[in-house]
Amino acid sequence: MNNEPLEEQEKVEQYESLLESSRKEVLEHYARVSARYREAGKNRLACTAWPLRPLFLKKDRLHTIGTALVGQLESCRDVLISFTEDRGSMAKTLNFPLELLKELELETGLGSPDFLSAARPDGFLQADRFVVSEYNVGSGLLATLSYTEVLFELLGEGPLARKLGLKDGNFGRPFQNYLSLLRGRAQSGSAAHIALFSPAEEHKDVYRWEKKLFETLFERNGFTVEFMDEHSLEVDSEKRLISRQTGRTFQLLLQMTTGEYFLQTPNSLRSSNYLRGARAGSVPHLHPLACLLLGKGILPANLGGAGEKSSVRIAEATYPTEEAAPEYRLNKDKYVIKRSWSGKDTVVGCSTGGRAWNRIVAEAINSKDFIVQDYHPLPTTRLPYLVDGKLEYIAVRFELSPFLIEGKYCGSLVRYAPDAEGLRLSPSPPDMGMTIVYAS
Amino acid sequence: MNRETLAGIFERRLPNGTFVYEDEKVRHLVPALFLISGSKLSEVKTQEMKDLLAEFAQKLELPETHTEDDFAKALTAYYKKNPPDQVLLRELQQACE
Repeated sequence: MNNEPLEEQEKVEQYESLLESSRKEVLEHYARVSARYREAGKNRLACTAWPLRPLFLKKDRLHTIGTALVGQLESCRDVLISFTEDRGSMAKTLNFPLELLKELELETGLGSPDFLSAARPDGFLQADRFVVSEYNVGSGLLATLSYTEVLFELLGEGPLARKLGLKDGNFGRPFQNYLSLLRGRAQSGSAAHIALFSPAEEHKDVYRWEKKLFETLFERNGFTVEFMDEHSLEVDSEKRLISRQTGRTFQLLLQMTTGEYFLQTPNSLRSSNYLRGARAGSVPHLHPLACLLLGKGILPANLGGAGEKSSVRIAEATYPTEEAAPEYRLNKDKYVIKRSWSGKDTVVGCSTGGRAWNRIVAEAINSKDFIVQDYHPLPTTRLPYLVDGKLEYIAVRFELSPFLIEGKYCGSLVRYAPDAEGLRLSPSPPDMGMTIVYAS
Repeated sequence: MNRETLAGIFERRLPNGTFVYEDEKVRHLVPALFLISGSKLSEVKTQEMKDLLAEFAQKLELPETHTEDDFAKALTAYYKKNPPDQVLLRELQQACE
């Protein structure tokens, strides 16, 4: 493995040297940002602490990766479209519930510009490539977009960015790009009233931490939002999408489901027809339910999406079979097992005991809701931490999540945790941190 | 018997990667080894071992607050009725000789 630093070292050194001498100013700025978000329950993000610096990565490289990722997602859409004529075969190949495929308007969902208008692949930045581990287009997307906005206030508007002359635009501001997308779709010029939808059963999971944060960020930018479920929304005879509670009409429907409810109860869509396709009445449906097909279970079917020379590739993945089980059992350090369509279970072979691993291999083969993916260690860098009032530099492993909005790279979220073999960042370990990327 | 020898027996695999001694057989035997070794419940360090012994205490229908002695007696009686896998036991005995 190439041990060259992945970050732009000159920028890192400049920033860290200034951090040493401006610690008081930085902490005062952090206290102000914290106070601003305290009302939204945000003394910190859903992680250990506020980060002390962004990652510095080459701008050209990030944009090249972004363009390749967009191409790869488009190829994924093509793979899915090629399946739509025979949903039985689609269900069998992807191990996706046929009952749900029958309920979805796949042609309009997959064909919609909003199938891929906002996406966030996760992956591993290597010296020569970006290796995609999974795509995110559903409920996690808005949460992480909103985190980047808070992190921008912290780092992009902080004293060090000002002193070093870092440009706002180089941080990307993905949340602002997302709002531009929403303005365009709502055809409202500036403000719009938005329905954030998740099934009633998922409300606790989807909005556990972030309901107030979403409200704060949307309202600060001139939008209003209502948190809706299948009981509180309807489409009237004039095809308007309406809140049954307030009677207000919406200009946009943002789908926030984790997918769990619809995967378990596909028949529920029969009483919520407006959720099946790309529009709810006359209103655009962003991240339509066809996006559920961009779960991890699509990866084995989309491996051909990038050529050998591409700057991105998908981590090799397969649907587990009994024939391949001896290989998985005997070489567990080479593999990761992940849920295909529901949940966040990720089991890393090299950090799992042999017996526990064999049990998950058996479950993966029997339940058919898993994929087996090649293990890639997360890349490493070194980040400053404040420990007992002192700055310390700790080796961390990180995962890069570039945001692709309307086909363009527009910033990244980085999740990191102290270096450990077999570390995974989803679901989040207790000592995980988050930061953003400065494209230099 | 040292830890490596024990692990060597417990962790031995068939060519298809499954373990020669299934999980249940090993889990069934481990509290017996704990008993024979004369270890104390209060000295157990790993969570996995704590969980396994707690699971057994439940199986033995011991009250939540039981003594070391209660546990040892109940476990001995339990193994009389439910002996460990004989092949595994024999292999362990041979390794001890």
